[in-house]
Amino acid sequence: MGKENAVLEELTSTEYKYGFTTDIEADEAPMGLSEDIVRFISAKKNEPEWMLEWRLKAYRQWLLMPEPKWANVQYPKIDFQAVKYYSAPVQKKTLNSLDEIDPELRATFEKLGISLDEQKRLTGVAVDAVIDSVSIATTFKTKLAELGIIFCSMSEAVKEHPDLVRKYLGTVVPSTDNYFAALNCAVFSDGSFVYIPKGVRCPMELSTYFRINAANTGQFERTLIIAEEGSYVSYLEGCTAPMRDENQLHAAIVELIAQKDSYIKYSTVQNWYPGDKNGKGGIYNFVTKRGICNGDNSKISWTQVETGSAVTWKYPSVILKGDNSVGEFYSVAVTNNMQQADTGTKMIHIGKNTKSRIVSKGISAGRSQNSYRGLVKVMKRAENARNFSQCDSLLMGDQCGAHTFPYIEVQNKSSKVEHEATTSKIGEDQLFYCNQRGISTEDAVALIVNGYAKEVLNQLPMEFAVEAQKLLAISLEGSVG
Amino acid sequence: MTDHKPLSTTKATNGNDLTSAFDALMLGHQSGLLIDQEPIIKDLKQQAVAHFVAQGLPTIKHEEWKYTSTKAFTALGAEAFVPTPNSVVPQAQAIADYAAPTIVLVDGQPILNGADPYSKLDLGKGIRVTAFSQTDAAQVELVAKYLGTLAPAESDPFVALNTASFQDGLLIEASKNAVSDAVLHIVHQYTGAAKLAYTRILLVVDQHAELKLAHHIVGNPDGENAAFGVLITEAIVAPDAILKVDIVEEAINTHLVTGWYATQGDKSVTTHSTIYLDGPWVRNNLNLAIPGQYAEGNMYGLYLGSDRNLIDNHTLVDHIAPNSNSNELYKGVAKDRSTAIFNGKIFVKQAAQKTNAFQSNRNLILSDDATVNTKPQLEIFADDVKCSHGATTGALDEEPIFYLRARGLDEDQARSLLLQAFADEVNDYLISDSLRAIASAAVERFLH
Repeated sequence: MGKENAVLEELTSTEYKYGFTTDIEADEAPMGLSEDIVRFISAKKNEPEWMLEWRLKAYRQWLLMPEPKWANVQYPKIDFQAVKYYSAPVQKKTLNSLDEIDPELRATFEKLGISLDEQKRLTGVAVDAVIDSVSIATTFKTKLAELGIIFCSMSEAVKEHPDLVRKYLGTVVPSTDNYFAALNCAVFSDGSFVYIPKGVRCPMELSTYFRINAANTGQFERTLIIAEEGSYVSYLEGCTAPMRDENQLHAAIVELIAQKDSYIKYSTVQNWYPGDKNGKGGIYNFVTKRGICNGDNSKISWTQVETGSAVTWKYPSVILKGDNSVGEFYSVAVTNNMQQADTGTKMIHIGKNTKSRIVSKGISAGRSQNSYRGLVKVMKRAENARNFSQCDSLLMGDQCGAHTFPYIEVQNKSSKVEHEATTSKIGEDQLFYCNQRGISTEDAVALIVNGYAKEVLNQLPMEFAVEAQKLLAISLEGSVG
Repeated sequence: MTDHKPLSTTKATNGNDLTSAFDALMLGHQSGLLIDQEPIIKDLKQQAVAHFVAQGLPTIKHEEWKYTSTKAFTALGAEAFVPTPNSVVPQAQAIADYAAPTIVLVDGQPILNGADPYSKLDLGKGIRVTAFSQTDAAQVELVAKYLGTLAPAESDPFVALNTASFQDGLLIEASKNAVSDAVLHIVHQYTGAAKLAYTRILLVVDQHAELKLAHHIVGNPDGENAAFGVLITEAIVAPDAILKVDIVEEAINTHLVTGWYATQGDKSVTTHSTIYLDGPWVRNNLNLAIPGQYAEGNMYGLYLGSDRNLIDNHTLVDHIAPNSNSNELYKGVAKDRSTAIFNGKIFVKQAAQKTNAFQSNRNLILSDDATVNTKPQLEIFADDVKCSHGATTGALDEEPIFYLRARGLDEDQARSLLLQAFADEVNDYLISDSLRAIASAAVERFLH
């Protein structure tokens, strides 16, 4: 027991590696939220009239909505007037090549281990880098354009591809969806836009790297991915933020649209600053992610590794509308110290022969609270729908909590729905077995945690799997092992 | 109650103003029963009125009532919520022969012919049943000590309603080392005459005692009026005691809310089996608190949904102390246009290390017009525990049907046999032979 305590002690003392700030001159909106701010953001982005109208409509709806209270998380009331809704690194002129990027910025991304340099094709990943409110750079654009793939920042998409944006934006997550979604619709500043044309298999992983840098800002980005018939794309998302004493707000929306026979794979490694070990500071991560399997035989797969944020509120969901469509959700959520996570998924079975699979692994340590909240809904016409859910929780230490709130609603007799959940700590017999074979307790704990999360980590693309494993090491394993 | 709101200014949140009804109730609350003369009970009832008025009836916006609408109760109107003191002695309908000591409650009221009519029941030494209205001084003290301590009027409107309005009830005691010879059967009949009928039962099981109880809710099979019943039971189970309870619900023509609130001492064992067979709208709330160590709580349930019936089972196990176990198995079948709901909560508090808590919920859905909603829920604050839950929903497996058909059974027989096997896993836990026979017969009939 003493040894385990020492292990946990070490665990709580591990520092957040990405906590540095970069001194970049920023162009910021004044603090607070009003219609003027919404207009300010829209004007800053040189948006067309319809976009501004759309934002204002969402803002007015947001004003009428109450803040949701149902999640199993506690945090002081957010003062929405104490947030800067727009912050952008000052850009003197339009960039012609990546060489013109502010060296400070470039250095920031180098520090984060992200190459913005197109010449260095070692990683083979196309990156859209978003700092605070705006997209800084998108790499490999021309190569992707040859295949007809559009991969650019959201603000660029609004200007360059207004028809596509207008057709799909807000169709999966309407602005009235929830409180934070409405807020995002009003003030979103940037994000990524991906369009994969019919029959195209995207040759490389697309990736967005989000970084909050400025103080007192909120980040409100929006991602929209459209996969046309028979296409495939694998998309990665990573995020970090500096260490600051005050809480910062992140309210994003991700919308995925999968047409007939297409496959979208969306992976997230979320590592926002979680706050210090007394719960001071950290990001409030209130994210709405939803995909729709619009066409037959389409597939959407969410994989997430959640290690950061002070408070997480996130439910990547799939609407299985097309017949034979497939939805998957793989999640590892690690909470430590004072972190709180309420995360899970929704699988809505509408089409025939639809299948969904949920694997959720929660790890709670310190004084954290980790909740799984999920919904599996089988509609009346969803013949032969199939769901399998598994949500396991691992508790490390006796000050933390693990909770599961699965909702299962079935209205069709030919469907099969299974759900199972377990909660336990690392078995003493397992540790003993390892010890007996000469593996130290620290290594054994690391081994067991890694094995526990493996089912999910295996779903990540190679480049990310490495990062995720490192992250687990930082959040837990490194300190344990 | 510090924030005691004046009744005349408080309105029920559902928009249906029940205040005037309760004002009338409080002014005219002179039932003349001994229990109401106890100042503690009177206080309890007064607070319960305030709690009910403050809460109103729950709507589907309330997380605990997400799938179950209480509209039928609201539709009764305010006057139905004014309990009528029973001026006439209720008349019981004929009952089945349970081959065991039997008590009949009509609209929740005990039928009292003479003083202490239950003393003649052959229950075994130390087991005693007394109507609240006939309790002696020592028993009044017992009732005052425990009544309302487990069932929370402040957070459950139906408990508040029952507490405010019950007229009489049953105190069932098992004194130290007393062991039930036979299963005490309680038959619940509803006439619909009183609209809302309240049943209140208090069980006190002392150390090393064993009590066996079987409820049969028969509802209102002959009556014209739909009946509404609220049955609240509180059970105090002392260390080393054993309590076994069956409840079989054939709540014909009756909207029913049941609430079971039990607390278990060290090394005690409780087994509670709930079988729902019929009734248009039934909500069962089962709450088990385990503050004792090395205690064991077993909860079994079977529900057969048919027609347009709604059956809602909510269970909660609260592990407060270390080293206790709980097992839960609920099985449901839904056909026709029925709705079956299960919500099972397991709480493990931080002190409750070495808890083993298991929960399983299996459902068969036999029609595309039926709905099965389940929400198993674990909330764990202790690390050294083993907790699991499993939930499944699906149709009867085709493979065993094929197996049986290959051996000469026809499709109906094969399905029926499989359904019986499915149901018997729960029925086998019933302690009352006659209720088990009733449940088995209902399962056999179910597919025809």
